[in-house]
Amino acid sequence: MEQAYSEKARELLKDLVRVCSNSPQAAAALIHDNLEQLWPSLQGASSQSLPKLQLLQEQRVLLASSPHPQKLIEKIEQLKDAGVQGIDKYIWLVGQVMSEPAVKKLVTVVEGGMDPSSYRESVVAEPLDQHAQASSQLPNMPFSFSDVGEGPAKRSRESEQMVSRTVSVVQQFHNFGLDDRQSESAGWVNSRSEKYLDVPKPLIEGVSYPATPQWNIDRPYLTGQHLFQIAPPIVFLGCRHPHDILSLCYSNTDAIRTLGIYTPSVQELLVIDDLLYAMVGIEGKYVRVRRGRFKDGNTFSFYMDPSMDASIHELAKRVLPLCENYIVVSQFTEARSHFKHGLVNHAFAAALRAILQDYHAMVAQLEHQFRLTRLSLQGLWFFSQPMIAAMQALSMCMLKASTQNASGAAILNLLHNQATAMAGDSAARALLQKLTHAASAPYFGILERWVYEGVIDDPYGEFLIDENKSLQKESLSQDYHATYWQQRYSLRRDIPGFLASSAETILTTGKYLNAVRECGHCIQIPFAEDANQRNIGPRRPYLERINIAYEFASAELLNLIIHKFDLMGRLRSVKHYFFVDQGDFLVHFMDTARDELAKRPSAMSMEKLQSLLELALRTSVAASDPYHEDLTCNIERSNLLTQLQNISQNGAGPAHYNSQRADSTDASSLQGMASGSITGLETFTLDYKVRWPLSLVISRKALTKYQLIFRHLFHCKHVERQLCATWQLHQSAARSFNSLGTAMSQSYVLCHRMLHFLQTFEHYMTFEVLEPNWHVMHGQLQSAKSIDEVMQHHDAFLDKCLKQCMLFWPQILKKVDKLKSICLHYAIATQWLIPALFRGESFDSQEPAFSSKKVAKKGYKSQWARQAADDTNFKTTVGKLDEEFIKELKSLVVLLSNGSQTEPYLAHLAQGLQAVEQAA
Amino acid sequence: MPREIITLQVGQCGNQIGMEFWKQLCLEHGISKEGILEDFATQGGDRKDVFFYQADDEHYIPRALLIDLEPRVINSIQNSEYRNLYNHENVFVADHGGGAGNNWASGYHQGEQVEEDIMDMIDREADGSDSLEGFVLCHSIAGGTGSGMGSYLLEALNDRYSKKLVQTYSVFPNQMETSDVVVQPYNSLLTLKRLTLNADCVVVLDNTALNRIAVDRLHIPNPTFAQTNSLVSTVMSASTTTLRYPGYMNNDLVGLVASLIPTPRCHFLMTGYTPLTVERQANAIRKTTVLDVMRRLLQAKNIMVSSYARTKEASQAKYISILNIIQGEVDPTQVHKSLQRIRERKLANFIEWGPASIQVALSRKSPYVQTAHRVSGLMLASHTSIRHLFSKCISQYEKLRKKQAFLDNYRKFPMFADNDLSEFDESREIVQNLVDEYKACESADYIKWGMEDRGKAMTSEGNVSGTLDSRVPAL
Repeated sequence: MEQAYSEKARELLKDLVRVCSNSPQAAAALIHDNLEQLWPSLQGASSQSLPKLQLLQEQRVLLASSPHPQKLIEKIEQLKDAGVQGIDKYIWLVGQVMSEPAVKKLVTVVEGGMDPSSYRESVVAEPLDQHAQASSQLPNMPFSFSDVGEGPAKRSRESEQMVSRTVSVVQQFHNFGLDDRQSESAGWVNSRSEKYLDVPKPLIEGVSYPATPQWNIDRPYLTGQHLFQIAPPIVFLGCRHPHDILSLCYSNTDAIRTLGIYTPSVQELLVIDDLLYAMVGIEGKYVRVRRGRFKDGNTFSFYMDPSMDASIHELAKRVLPLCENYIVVSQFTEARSHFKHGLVNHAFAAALRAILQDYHAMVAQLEHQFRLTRLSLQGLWFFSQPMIAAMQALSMCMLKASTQNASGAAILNLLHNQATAMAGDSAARALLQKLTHAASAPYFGILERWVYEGVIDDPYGEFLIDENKSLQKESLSQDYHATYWQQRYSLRRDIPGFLASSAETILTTGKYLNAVRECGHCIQIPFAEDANQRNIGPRRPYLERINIAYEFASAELLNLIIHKFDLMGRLRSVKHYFFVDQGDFLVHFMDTARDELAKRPSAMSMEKLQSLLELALRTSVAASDPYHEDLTCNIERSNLLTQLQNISQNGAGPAHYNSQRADSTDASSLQGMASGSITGLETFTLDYKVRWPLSLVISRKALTKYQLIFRHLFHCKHVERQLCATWQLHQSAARSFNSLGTAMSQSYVLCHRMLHFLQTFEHYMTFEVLEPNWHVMHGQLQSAKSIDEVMQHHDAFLDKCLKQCMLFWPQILKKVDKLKSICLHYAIATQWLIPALFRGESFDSQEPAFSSKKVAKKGYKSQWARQAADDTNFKTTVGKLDEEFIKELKSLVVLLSNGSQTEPYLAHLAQGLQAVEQAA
Repeated sequence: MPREIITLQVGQCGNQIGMEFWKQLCLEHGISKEGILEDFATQGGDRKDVFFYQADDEHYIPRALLIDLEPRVINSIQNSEYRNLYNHENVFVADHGGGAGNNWASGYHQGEQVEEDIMDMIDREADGSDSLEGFVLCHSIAGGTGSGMGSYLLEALNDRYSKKLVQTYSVFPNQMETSDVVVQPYNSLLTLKRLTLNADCVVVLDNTALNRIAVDRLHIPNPTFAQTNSLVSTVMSASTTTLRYPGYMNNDLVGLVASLIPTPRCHFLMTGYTPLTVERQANAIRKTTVLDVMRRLLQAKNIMVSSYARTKEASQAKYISILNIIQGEVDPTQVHKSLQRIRERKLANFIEWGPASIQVALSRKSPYVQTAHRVSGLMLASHTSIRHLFSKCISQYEKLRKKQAFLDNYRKFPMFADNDLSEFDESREIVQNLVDEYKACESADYIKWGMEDRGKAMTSEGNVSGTLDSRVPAL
């Protein structure tokens, strides 16, 4: 189907080319020359909101002509549902096109040159993209047109206009279009039309601005635009411009006589008269405009009747650059007043207008003098001296600005640099500085709002700071990779040179104020008055004011976060729970949640754990912590090692942190299940609700780090508890007889060793890593000057803790894990074996003992107990575990001592563990 | 559900030190003499519910049982400022009020007779707590009530609450001066057997050493009981700080004690405390650092147990384990440095078969008690030299036993009826075993100890034998 359509379209193109003209290039050129006029009308029409009735009608036309009306309706509805804004506009356009057979034809031609299948693709690939969608609307038309069929091509002027209008429609689509192939095929159209038209290419993607009124573009003679056009536009042949009439009159009635026929004094008068016109951009009889390309970059230049007296010619020629420069400046001023160029350009154009006003006044005065016959050519030359220099300087700037298409900061930089470059010419420099000052006024306005209020009021995207609205502050407490603080506001590439040195300060100042504002806090700006010190002079008073504002904002935010939101209290509270710095709640929690935690993660009930945790918190010291209600619990899917591996491998955080329960279908959880007996003890972790603005400091990333440490500690505590249980078993079972020399004594020596290992390890983590680092961080936070500093210290603290707790040393961590699992193994084994060993004895003791046989009986029992305690099975189990434990411990100590050469803190732990090891 | 601890104070001495202990706790937690929380103490961050519970009117009541066979000491408590602190239902005084007459057998026998009443009280307290961690018994081992009845209670507790910890603060008699209790060696020996078999942890408070410390260190020429008791209460409260002021580690009694006691029987702990002051005696205020405190704790003169070892034996004596509880403003980085210094100087001589290092627990200080010193420290240590204390008990017992002196008082009671003195022999055997085990700890091959002469040991046990109480081992 598609192939057939495209085939047909191509045929039609060929047809049209044949009919239209002998050379397709010429026809196209004709079309493009008409674009100028057509463009604004289209612009205006499409930006208006369309009457609904008309729209419906257009839609009906469209449907009637479409081969697949059903499909089309579906498409339109789909787009509307997706919230595509411009859809009505495009329906209208397409409808318009449909109702004009000639236009239809041309569209078919243009579109036929492209590959319609690519459009089809784009329809499928990017159904939601507005621009792509807009262009993808087009292919519907050629196909339907081809069905309708073509009338014979009429070469009337009217149809030409319609054709060109449609081409401009296509043009517009291409400007918006994203497809490379489209722009390639229409490339030549693009590049040529852009020269004549101010094609509204958005300066900043996504910034919308009002359209320039149509009349402004309609009348090139009003804006001086006409001089920039290579050929007089055909469309305007019918136009009744006074000047045209004049020139027609000249050419029709009496042909312009050359100057040479007059005497030099008459020549001078005529030339002065013409020059005065030329000085305001109007070409005269003897001072004419030549269009074309000239070496100074202008597309026109003035020339004079060569027949005049040589001396007058030479003198008058000197004034001509002024005329040319004036036209450049005034044209620039006009063009830059358009909305799309942004505030800086507007301000700049306004300042230029003021200068032009002076200029016009001067010309008027000169003319007055001329009327009084007091002005000679010499006089004109003399009086226009200052303006010649000024206009020269300005037009240089204008040319640069136009070629760079500069706006915003670039314009300011350009002016600033130009002023600096012209340091020798004090008048030009002063002028440019004045202009810079004027042009920067709106920029400073934006800057002030940002620096004093933390608000970006920048409709044209000119300011040096870019706001990324898609980053929400809520992400901080949810997303491990949240970049709200780093990327919500960022510096653009274009920064005015005079602000470059303090750009970072400006960014942070506003960011701080913005954060304060986000807290719902009212900011009082103590120095917002006195806003007119904006000179970009060498003293740069504004820099000082920025610094003051920075200090104020920084102090304000810091004060807010530290005092009103009690950052230190929060951190202390987080420390209580995640570092188990007041461990009683954990003891209670582990007591009560023992059964729940022993289950598999999928079988655990979060609600139950949560209520147990709350109970534990309420009955412990934590109850006096005002923030204890923000603590919640969570179950991770993998054990600590796996999670750390994930983090180190792909830098990814726990992607599943907010999934409350392990999803059994998930691959990673399946892996976790398969990898062994993961229970709640390995996967349990705490979580903490952090709200803005504290989430700046305690972000999800920071919290994840806290969690890692907590899980590490938690598991150590669990193993320690198990060993304590074994110890208690030893106490009650083995105290009653002399166990010296039995396997029992071996067992409790091992138990003691393991306990000691764990306690040494915990002691290292808490008293040698967490606590000292915390103290250091605490001190740093007390003296921190800004919130960035606070964040930096806090992050550094966490990283240091993680590192020193060896969570980043998988080798060591694995060893520790292995040791812990041996300990657990031992604890479980003894808790089964020891009661089993003495079961028989308890049976015995229930028999009533006769006092006469008491001694013998007791002796027998004691002996029996000793025998039981020396059970070989028990002995080998303990022996084996003992061996394994010592082996692992030794290799851990070796690892630590090796590591301590580069990381001195490991030596502390190594020393502590050596004591355990040496005893073996 | 805190890990509650119930305190039993038995006999004259037990009640006296108990009273001092509660005074100290009240001070540290900001609880008034009436049991009302002081206004300044509402934001404590401390755990009062380990040792106290709250009555309906919010006033704090100690989880304590006051037990005596004569009314004198308990009456004085009930007439003191603290009379409203205690739960009056928890006071037990024998009806006859005649005491035990310094006779262990009498105390034990009376304990047997009033078991039901006392166990009722204990049960009531135990039921009132959510997750009972264990019991603390305060008593002396020399007299009649504390030793005899205390012994009986130990057995009974072991029987009924076999899964709970039992810790005792046992006051050993002053052996430097002749005691007014002539049968003290008998009482001590019999009590020691129960302490060995039925307690999980015994904190030895040696009156001899306490007196010596009072005289030498505090320069009190004739220390009164009140003064030595204040030393005891300091030690008792300090040893429970990690339970009352939760920290990173040692937040329950098991965790605290388990690492200190490697073998079930060698559970006798010595204590040391520095800097020591007695009330209104802030004479010499020293600069205290962690290292200072830890170093002083290792000095024999600060240890509250006398060593009766001869020099040769003393040199062989070793630490089995040490836990230092450091209170006050401590820079945690100091701890590591101090430990390193002590290790380098070899200030502590450890056993060779077990992990040899000083463990340190940092704890907060009560904000309500003003002390002159920034840092204070308590050492809980298991040291093999304590066996000489037991040897001394045995030798004193031997002397009396050889003379068959004062045995008539014991024969009056059922346990020793029909001239059955096997209980004495059995106790002696067990204490001797304990001494031997401590001695074994000094050697490098503790695990192998006793293996080679196992056959011999078994036959000897066949003759004399250890004992087994009737309780069922924990399953």
